[in-house]
Amino acid sequence: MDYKKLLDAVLSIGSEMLICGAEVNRVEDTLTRICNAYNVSEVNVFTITSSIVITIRVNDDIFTQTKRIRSYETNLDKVDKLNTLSRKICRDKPSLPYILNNLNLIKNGKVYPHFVLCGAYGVIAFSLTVYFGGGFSDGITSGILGMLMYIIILKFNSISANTILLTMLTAFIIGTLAVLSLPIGLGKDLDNIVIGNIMLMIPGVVITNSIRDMINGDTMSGLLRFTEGIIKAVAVALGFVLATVYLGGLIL
Amino acid sequence: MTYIIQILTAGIASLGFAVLYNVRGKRLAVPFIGGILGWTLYLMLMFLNNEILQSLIVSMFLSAYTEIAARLIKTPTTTFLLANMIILIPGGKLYYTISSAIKGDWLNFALYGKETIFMAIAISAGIMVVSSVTKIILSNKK
Repeated sequence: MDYKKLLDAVLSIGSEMLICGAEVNRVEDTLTRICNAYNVSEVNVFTITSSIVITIRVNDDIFTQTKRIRSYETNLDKVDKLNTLSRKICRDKPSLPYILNNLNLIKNGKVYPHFVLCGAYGVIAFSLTVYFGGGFSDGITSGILGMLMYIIILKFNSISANTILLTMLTAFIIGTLAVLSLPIGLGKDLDNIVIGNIMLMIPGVVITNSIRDMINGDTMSGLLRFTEGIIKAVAVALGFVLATVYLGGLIL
Repeated sequence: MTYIIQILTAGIASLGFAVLYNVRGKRLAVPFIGGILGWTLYLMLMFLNNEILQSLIVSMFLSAYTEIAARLIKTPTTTFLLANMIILIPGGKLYYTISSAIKGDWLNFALYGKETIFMAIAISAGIMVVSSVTKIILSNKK
């Protein structure tokens, strides 16, 4: 068994899980179990949201590898499949090519096409606006803005600028459009239109996961993620509010 | 009627978020039903007249629901939990908090800010209680 390559594969599984939105606790647990399955005498894993460090001791040899994670993309289908794969690895102890092969299959797994995601943004914005007490016409306006938001986010993804700034800018653009929709007669209740769209941008996954991390005892990564989430949430709200209060004050 | 619309939209919103998180196939039914049940429970608890307590109870209910669903379908709890908690996240209150601050209305800022923070704590406390209890039950089984 080439432990260096095994470690590399294990780290790939771990980083993929983190990127897709698994909790730190689950990642550490999975990596430890996989290593233990291959007769390793000692495993040390330390994970925070942006990095994984793992050291294993095999007889007298010690191997250490790290992986830095820079961006996230929630994909719970992948988390589920990686979880199944790691269970299988622990049970059957398959050979290294088998693991790498399956890992590749999971990495290139199916995702919803853009039009479905765009539609989902619209549907979510519509239903949340109605949910928070907006009328039907407010819902429709909000839905259209939600779809526009997806297109803007997609376009912005290719720009390498500060993420927080881009988030705020997206929120500001959508907020401005929401304000402009009122004089045209598309919507009636600005607040509800905006709230439906805010919910799309608030990093719910990040905040929920951070709290779960902290509960599980991973205070460090929990705090990191929590701070990140709060900053983003405030940026989103600020972007919208700047548009609605200042522009809204001028126009309405 | 308003209630029925609210319940339905809660389900659809949860379903939509599950799609964004790339949950696939039949599993999409779980967040949809969760959203509907969760908001129905929230509305039934209206007599408490306390948003924070209601959020806490619904959060506990949804956590338990997702833990059970995840065990039955054999998938990590995360798969459903994240999409289902959306209906409780106080996005509206956060918006009002920040907009009060921008308007210089510090009284409302404090009021909304306090509610936003308490609701977030209530949601996480709900998740915490249920996930701890689940761990205890599971470790006893082994």
